[in-house]
Amino acid sequence: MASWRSRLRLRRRRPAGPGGPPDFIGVGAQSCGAPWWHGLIAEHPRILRPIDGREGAGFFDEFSQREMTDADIARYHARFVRPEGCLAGEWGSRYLADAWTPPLIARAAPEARLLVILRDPIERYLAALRQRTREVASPDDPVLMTDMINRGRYATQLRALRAFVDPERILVLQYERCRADVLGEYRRTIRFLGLPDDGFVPRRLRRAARGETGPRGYVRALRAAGLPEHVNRRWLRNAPLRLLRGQRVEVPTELWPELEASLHAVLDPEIAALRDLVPELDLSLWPHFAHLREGVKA
Amino acid sequence: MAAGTGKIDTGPPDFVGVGAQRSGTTWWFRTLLSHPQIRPPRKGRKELHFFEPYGARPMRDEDIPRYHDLFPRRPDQIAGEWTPRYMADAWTAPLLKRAAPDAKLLVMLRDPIERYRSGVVHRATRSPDARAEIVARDAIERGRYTSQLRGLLEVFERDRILVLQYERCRLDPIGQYRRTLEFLGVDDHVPEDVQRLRGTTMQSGKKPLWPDLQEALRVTLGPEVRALVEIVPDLDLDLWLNFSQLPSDDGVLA
Repeated sequence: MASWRSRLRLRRRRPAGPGGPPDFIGVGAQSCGAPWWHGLIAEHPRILRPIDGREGAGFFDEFSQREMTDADIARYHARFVRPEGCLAGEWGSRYLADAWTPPLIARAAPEARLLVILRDPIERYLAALRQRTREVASPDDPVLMTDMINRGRYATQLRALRAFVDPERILVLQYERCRADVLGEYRRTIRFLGLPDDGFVPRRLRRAARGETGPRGYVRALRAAGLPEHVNRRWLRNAPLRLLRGQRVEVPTELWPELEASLHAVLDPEIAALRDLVPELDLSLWPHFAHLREGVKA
Repeated sequence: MAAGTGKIDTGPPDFVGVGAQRSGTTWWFRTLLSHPQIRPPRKGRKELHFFEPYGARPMRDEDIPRYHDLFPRRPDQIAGEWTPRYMADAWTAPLLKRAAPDAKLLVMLRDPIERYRSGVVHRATRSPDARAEIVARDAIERGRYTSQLRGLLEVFERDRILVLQYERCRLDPIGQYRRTLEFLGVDDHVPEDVQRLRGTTMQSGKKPLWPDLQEALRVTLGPEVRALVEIVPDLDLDLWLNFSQLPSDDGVLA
């Protein structure tokens, strides 16, 4: 089911033209700001979303259970309709983590450019845990807890992706860098997708373009009046659902020492390998892994 | 050692099987229980899943006696459990070390692609409402044996871990059984009929894999298998037909 926002956007900009393989696919990672980033990309006047508005729905999910056929590929292509001179693409935040997906992307969209946005994997884990705590009363299903940890195996996932897709066609972004230099990374992304840098600024980045940073004035006033830090737009959006379920939400924000050590045992080798795969990776932006920066003694 | 004498007491398990699911662990645990000196946990359960909740909250010191109380045995016996998830859950190894610091660990491994095929069917049968892609993802991740073993080796000495190969146990059950007994430190013994003690086979429900999926599994699990040989030098890769030709070093597990 497409969200009301997607449907509204589609009514505003109904595309015309033939369908075909997507020009780009955002492949992950989950809880790393991918919806935010792809929302900004889709504001570009020459970039279009899938016509069914089903982004993040995971087209390739079902092919863990059965072979992807040519008819499935045609169905996928039919979603990407664009006029001459425009690009169309989608994102699926699980594609990177799902090992069966890279060969399918190589078959269904052999020329597509792929976007990967990564975040400090321990912060990613905590963000995913908070999200899960908001969604369900009992977040301790070990299958899902372990899945949340394993999604931080960025190097393993990127290696598998590069086995099927030319690394030149993969752009790896860092969520923290995107937050710190949103316009610079936005323009870098647009150039990578093959569009000229014509100075377009998404509506949501106009404050940043004017040099305004930090919360808006009314948010600052509300904070000064005592509004807690965790109350933001997403928190307010989920509030009715929580009330309906009668949940008392306790959002974990810290790790205990044993769990933190366990996460490092899994993730440190991944980040050390990722540093070699993505030389521009700035580990100073990932404080949990600062000990893995070049030149830092263990 | 004569079994079956003395007062029954509880305490930390003497051994814990920690992996891997769909690798013949039920068969092997039942075979071990045919030994007069080896006791299961209370109520004869094989899998206790004791540490699973502690991925979401810390384990307290007062939780540990509850674990110990699950292992009754006489002074001349040993007791243990076998929960195949433990190895796959990254948080379990340090908790196991706290709760059972002297336990010996048993790991039974199987060709990870064959394990995947069996695991998908098993989970779909046990949890028919589970989303298919979550089942598939879990079944793949459980085959990352090297990463999981390295997590164990962060807290346990290598000589406290016996890694068995399912395919070798099938070929030479008596020899591998006696090897397991020697590792556990109990008397030599020969079971009456080791083949009759098979666990929960899923042979009938397993599907052949299609080329895209087979290649994806080989790419993602191949480096794990190659690195596994360094940790388990006696691993016989000729018994894992899906990995007779291994992909090159991927750097993560080097």
